[in-house]
Amino acid sequence: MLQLTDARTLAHGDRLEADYCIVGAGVAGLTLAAGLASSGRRVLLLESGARESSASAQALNRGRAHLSSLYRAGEPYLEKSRVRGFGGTATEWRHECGAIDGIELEARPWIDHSGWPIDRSELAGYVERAQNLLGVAGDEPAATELPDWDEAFEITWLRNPQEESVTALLEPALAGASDIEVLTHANATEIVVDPAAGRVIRIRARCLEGPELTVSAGSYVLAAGALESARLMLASNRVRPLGIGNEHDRVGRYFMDQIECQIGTLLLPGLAARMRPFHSVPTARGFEARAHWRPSAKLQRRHELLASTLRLGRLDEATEPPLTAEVESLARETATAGERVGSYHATVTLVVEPRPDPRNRVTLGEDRDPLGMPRIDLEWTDHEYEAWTLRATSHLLAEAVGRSLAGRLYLPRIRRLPRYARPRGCHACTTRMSRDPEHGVVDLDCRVHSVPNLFVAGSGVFPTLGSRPPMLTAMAMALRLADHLVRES
Amino acid sequence: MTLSRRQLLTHFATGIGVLAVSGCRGRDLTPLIDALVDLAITRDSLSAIGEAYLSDREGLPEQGASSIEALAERLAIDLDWSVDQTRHELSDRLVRRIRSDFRDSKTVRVRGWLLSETEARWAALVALAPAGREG
Repeated sequence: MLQLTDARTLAHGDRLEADYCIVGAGVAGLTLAAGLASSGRRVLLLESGARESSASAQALNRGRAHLSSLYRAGEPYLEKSRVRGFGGTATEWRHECGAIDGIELEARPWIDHSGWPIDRSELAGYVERAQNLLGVAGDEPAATELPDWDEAFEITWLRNPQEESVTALLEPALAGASDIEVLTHANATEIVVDPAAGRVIRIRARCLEGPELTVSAGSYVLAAGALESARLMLASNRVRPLGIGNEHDRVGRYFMDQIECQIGTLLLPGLAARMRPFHSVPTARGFEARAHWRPSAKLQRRHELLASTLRLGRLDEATEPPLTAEVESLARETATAGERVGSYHATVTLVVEPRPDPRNRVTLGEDRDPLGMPRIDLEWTDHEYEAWTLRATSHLLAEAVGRSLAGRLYLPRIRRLPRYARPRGCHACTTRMSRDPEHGVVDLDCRVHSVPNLFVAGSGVFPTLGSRPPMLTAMAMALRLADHLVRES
Repeated sequence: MTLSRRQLLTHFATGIGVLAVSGCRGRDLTPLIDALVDLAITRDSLSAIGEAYLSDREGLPEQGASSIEALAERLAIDLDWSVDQTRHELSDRLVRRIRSDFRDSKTVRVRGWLLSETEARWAALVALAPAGREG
């Protein structure tokens, strides 16, 4: 049975023990716990927040962020894009689920540092298990009726769980656990390593108002999010001056977030009925699915694009573009298919995969938080390739739609698109997976290369982030890690 | 700056009142203009797009290419037009040309809409053609 304990009720100096200590009770930490539920081992999760998020816990997220054109000065990116509390940031995400797959997992010659080093079919198996946890497993709807613009863009589905709360979705998997406890208000402040053995021997944790604790375990897993896990590794520098696992100066590097931009308006005369699955369609298994487009692998290779996903949204009549009725008439005059009535108008939003770049990084700032930990200093400033991909993909979609004679695309701001782009708050890759310790932080088992009993879960281990919401992939990777830990024990 | 239809017609179509329009090869392009205007089912809509296209180009070096003669000549070449073409053949060539424009990135933005160069020129020609010219 999952048990929540307020760490403020414990005594100062308490020493807790477990088989597995997980830092963070967000979606990755809870999924990992669910994966360990039947192991018969004691699992202790340290959660910075409470059951609900609180202002005092959220204030610990403060830091400095340099995000160039994507960041309006004064916007609290580091505070707003993550949630401290049971369930973590996933409690505020829109729960469209889709895992990274296909070309997004490949090493692409035009994208430095791309490519996942693990077996695709193995990952797919864990994705299916994660879908089962969320109640969204099963076949995708048939896509034969949906336009693919001569296969230039392919249909991809995102799935919406029926239950909105991720924690509620995971509860059945956690309910059967023999010994899982979540300590709320418990902020991990230091990973303590035995200098001789090179292993983690305990984790220190503090409450904002209350005691300081230590947790000793056989294995430790950082599941505090890509920013916080990197921060904790860097700040744990008493024995290793560069931080834990940072012998090759990789911890905190390759930080990335997806970039989202509403690129324009799509007009398809006579195709309203056919386009409904782009908004929502029920499936035989009870969950809803939503069609999206993404450039085909062939198109991405030919134009050396970053990956992207295109979402269609309802168009507010007040923002209807100029000449809409006239262009609709023009499109009808040359259309080769479609009904006479039921024109389809929609906004088009493009989510672009960020480019891996070691210069984008999390470091420790000079300011300290109330717990005495250095605050985050985040650098993520070069978005040239992402901006170019936004423009190129928008143009390619407009040409593909026009070529099909099915409609036309309104692209009012294509040259200035980066100005309208925004980060989505999907942080990743700061503790990326690599075969070679010189190129990443964790190995293929998500174990920190230089620390045998320290692991990382969550999107921090992704080598690349892809263009789909990272939650499902993070859950799949957490289940994979759980299997590894059970096998290892 | 957005020009009114009246201003546009004055600006670009001086001499349009004459019955015949000759291309640079000396061909009489009047039948082509008539046929292209006739193909426009919704002439007002096409004219509005054509006016926007012409207005966007006002003052640009290639503005001369926006006279009705130049537009007709260009369309005659692009559509491989001959006087004995049927309406159906011309329509078919127009659609195929629009499709190939999008394929070959021969596109133009008109008030934010990405259109094929051919359809934009067709719209401009319809905008410049005198009222009552359609079949």
